[in-house]
Amino acid sequence: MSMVKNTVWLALVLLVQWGLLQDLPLTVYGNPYLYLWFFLWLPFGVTRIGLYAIAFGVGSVMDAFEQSGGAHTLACLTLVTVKPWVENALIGYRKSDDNEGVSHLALAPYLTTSAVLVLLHHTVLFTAENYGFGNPLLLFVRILVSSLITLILLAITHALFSKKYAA
Amino acid sequence: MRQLILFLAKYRSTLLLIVFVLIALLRHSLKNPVAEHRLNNVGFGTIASVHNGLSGWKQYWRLEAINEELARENAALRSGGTRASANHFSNSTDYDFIPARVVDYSYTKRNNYIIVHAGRRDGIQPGMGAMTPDGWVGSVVEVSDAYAHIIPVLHSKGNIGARIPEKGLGELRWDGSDPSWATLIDIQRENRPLPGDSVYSFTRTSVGPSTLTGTIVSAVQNSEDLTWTAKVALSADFKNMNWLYISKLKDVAQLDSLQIPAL
Repeated sequence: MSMVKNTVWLALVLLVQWGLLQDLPLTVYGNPYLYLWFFLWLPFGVTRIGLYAIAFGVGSVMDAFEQSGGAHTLACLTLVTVKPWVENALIGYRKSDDNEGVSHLALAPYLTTSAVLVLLHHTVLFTAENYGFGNPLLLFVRILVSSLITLILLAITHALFSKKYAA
Repeated sequence: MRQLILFLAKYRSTLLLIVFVLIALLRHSLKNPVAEHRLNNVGFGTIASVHNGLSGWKQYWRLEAINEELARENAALRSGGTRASANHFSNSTDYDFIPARVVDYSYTKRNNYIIVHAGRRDGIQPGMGAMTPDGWVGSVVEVSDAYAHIIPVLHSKGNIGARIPEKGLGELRWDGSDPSWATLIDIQRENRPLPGDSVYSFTRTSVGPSTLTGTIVSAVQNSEDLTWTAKVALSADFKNMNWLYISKLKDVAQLDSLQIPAL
């Protein structure tokens, strides 16, 4: 049941990313990537192998859509690799059979955790897309602006879908 | 053997991660050259048709812009104004111009792309040029039956030769920030580019006709080799891509026959 639910959420998140956000003329310094919400929504109980497989799948779909080689896959794999450590450091110990994820937390811990993860994901993504650290100032601005917009959108999504958890 | 199985079982998640990262790195490194690798083209047609489905309703949002563009083009054609001027690419009789609807495009990345709904069955081949009525856009790198993938000037490998009439050639490149500006480099020291000078694309004949690409805004001279580097305002609006023309050389067979090396 939860597998079906997860798949439906994933499809919805990708549809919103592609149907609404991709062409949004917000800024020339990078798109917001709201699809990261799916990783924040995933329950703490998902195994490492499961996380890697999901990250590889989601990243590959994004790469195919964005014609970006393997940049999204690399960024997503980095995100899920460090996600348990960041969660442990910022939120503390969670039960392994826990059915809730980062998005089920109150706004403050949700935002701090997502800020770290989003910044990390965007750093890997834009550096890979840039094929290195050429033009570092522009790369830095791109990472920062894009992360900021993604975070604002993540906060709005939290307010919409995790109302009872919002502080 | 038992040790090996135990090892694999113990570190299965780490090994899986390593395999995934290696696959991603391989895919990413093969993406770099302009000639795309087969690995990255798997499912290009499928992805393009999903884009097409999504762009169907996105097009509604852009109807106003498309309408305005058409009205402007129509008015210019009727008045015989600048668009019908001798230099406009559409006056070239050596090419057919295949109209193509844009289904997806980007302008916020370091390496941008454009996908159009016209492909092999419309006569499009890799290497052909793409332009809007306003100016040069890029060239086709990959085609499926119904779709084509274009690398625009806004790409780290999208540099083209460019020419200022009577002032010689240079190379047009994009620095990766604003999609409205590009840089023209290597203009000979005796040909100082002046603000307002038009810049035309200068590609192989099989790619496309010489097409207006932008206008010089300012120029500075390099202290070392005394060549000029100019800032160019691109004339095509890369933020609003609706329809493109793909240029197809009419006598391409004749050109090909000349290019066969003598035995």
